[in-house]
Amino acid sequence: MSLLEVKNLRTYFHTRAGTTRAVDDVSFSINKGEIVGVVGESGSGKSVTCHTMLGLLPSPPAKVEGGSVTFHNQNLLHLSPTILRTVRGKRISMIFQDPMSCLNPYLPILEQVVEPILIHENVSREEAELRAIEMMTKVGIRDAETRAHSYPHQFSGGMRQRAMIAMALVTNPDLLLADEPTTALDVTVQARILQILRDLRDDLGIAVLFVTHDLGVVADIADRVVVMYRGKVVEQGSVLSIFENPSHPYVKGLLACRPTFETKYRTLPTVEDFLETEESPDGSVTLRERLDATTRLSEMKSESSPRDSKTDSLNPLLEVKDLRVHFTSGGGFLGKPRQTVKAVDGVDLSIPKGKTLGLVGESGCGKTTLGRAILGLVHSCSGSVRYDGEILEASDMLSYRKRMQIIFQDPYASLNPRLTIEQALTEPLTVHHIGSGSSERRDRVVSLLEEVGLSSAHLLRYPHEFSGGQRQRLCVARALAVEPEFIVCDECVSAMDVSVQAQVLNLLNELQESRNLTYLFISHDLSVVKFVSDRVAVMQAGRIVETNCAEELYQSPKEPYTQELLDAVPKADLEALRERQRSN
Amino acid sequence: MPEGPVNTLVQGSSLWKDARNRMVQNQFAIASLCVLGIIILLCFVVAWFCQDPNKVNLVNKFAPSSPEHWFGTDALGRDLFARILYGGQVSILVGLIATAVSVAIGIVYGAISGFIGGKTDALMMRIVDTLLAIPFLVLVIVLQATLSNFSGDVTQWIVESWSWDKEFTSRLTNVVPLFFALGLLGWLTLSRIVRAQVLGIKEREFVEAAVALGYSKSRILFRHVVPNVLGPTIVYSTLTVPGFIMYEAILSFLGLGVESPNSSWGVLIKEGANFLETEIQLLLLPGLFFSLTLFSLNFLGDGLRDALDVKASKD
Repeated sequence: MSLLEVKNLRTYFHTRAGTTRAVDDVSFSINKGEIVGVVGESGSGKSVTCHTMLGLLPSPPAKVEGGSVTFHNQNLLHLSPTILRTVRGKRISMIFQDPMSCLNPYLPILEQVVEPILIHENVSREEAELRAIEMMTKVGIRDAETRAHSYPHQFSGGMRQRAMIAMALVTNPDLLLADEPTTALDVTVQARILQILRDLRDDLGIAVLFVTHDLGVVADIADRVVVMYRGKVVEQGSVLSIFENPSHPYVKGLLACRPTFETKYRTLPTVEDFLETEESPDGSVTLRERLDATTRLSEMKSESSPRDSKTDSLNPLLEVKDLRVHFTSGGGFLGKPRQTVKAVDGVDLSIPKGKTLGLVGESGCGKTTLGRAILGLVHSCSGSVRYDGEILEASDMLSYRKRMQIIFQDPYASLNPRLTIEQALTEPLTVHHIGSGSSERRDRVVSLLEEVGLSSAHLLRYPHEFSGGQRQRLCVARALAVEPEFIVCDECVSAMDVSVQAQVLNLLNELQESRNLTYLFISHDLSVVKFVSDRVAVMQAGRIVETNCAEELYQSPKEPYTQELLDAVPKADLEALRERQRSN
Repeated sequence: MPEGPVNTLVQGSSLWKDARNRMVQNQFAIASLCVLGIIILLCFVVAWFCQDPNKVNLVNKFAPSSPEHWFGTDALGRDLFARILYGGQVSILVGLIATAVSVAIGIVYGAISGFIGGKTDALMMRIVDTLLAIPFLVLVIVLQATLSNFSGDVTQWIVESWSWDKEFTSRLTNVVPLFFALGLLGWLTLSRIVRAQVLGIKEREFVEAAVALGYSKSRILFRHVVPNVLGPTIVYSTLTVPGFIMYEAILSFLGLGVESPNSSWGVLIKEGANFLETEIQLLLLPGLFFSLTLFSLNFLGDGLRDALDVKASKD
């Protein structure tokens, strides 16, 4: 008898634009003490499934159309709100993605961890506080007794997520729903949180439903995996069987399209290589496997050549010497002490023409600021940037704008929503007097669109009519419009699903070959950086701690910090999985 | 996702177009728009075919409604219907011109202040604070008095150089100082709203991308930043139109706005209030037109706010 059983669950969203089948006939179950991973890309319905169980969806527009969620022989979907409240937080707890916004900033941490006990159980405040502190110690908050009285803003992101977990577990629930609990965290912090969840499962025998988009994390933590796609479960089974022997083409594609440390080839397979989707007018989708998928994959692997790692002999296109960017805050009207944050603190790096330097580091290490300082988008307070042999001066940055470009993380925010694609792409041409006359410029814009895999049919559309991946292509096209030699890619695939990420990475690689582009590729994702870079620089607290060619850096890191980063990346290779299987 | 070789141009739907579609579905807003249209039509077209609103007929004062005088006559025997329509011209123009002036100044001032930031921003906003600290009506009265001297000269000049009818010209020029006094001072709150919006938009990555692409500051400000703050600005300004009409009414009520014998809704309500006990229609009828306009503008503003809410159209 399983702890929780979801049967034929269907949740639809009824809006004016039509009905979206967010969850469409989903069935799975969780046993006591089991960690089940629900994997899927954005819009696959994994979070909606989770929220439906606890009745957390706004209705309308959401409506449960059918199915059942059985928990301790009760169908949660038919419980009255009052009874459901005694289940929520007591028997089933939930933790969310963003620990920053899930804690009330006006209450001390202890107050918030105690609250669920006081609501659900009839115990004295003293006892509740004792239990809260005990739980906080258990989830790895050191000096819990003193720190419990701090406010959320005094905690780091990882600490807040621990406080959230303590809050969820303090009532000894049977089931924990974890909705992307580590997505907003750095890899090293993520590794610790995953360890805590595993330990808690072993100690308390709690079952965990772990929702995530990251296959690596699932491989690391889950016993069984449920893969969702467009509101349906396409495959479920034990972790090892899914990774070793995926049967559904979507799962095969999903596994193949994420770069790993071992990926040697330069073109990533995409989900489309495996999967044909056919949408009929009534909204139902038929999925079919491409017949040539396996042959194409092996072709791809044999075709692609490993990167040439000998880069030292080449002349650098960009050379950064002792660059420093300091931000000061405070020092206001009443003479509060000034505080200086050394975001970039003496960085040296150089990138040869036509190559890619990967820049990795955790959030707040200054990698984004470094990228912007190179382009003169933030003022550096000392040091020099040499481009093509000449020192960049703030005064004549304009002449370099044509040669150096940047692509941002959020493709939603980096296109002006009021301009059509044609206007957005023509503007750089007009400003820099590239091409003469509107017809020639239009031709250029069309060829740019085609180069990034869009067509002239999109010219008159507006940014909000495109998907995230398409928008990032548009940003690439806009950056290419001025024909730059050097592009800073600032976390430019971090906000994307793996299948879209693979497409954009392939595009960047193709463009590098056809246009001989030089990239500074900034990312927190070590696997992605490994895949695109010739050389990799590791940044920590405003400084570069290690630079080496990609292969060597990943195989034999010299700095302990690099080693720590590499260890924290969830291992999703079969080797590691079998290892885990054995140890269980 | 690469799409098939479709080469027909697909006309995109802009955020403005989406907003218009949402607007059309809002029945309240559309009804308000119709009411406003009818009132404007009455005041600016039908009024020309009415009798002279200033023609005194002391024999026929306080006449009840009749085919000749639809709304009856006032204390001096003047036709109330004509006076309401002519008064409406002044009131509506006050609302529109003062709003236009204040929106123009408010957008430019607020956008520049927010976009440049730093000390310039601090200075510009302290000026706004100072002006906001002085009671609005006092400022308007002082400014109006200053502008009135000037408008007298303008009247003189128009009459002499184009030999226009003096009475007609002064009816136009007399109210102009009021329009501008209200407009020149009404932008204060708007500029703060625009500034706050600009501060948000400025941090968006497309603005940074524009800097990286080497666009000039003024191009970034007026092509990339300002169009993105127009939504909230338009909504706010529809809500200020009733405000300006009210101020004109208050000033006229105090005897500082439109000069006798000309009328505005404010003047008519003030005159009507004198006969509250005996001839209540003198107060109610201009009041009805006035409130209908205010209600419609408020509903229209609400409708626009819902329609221009970009959040709904994101994804």
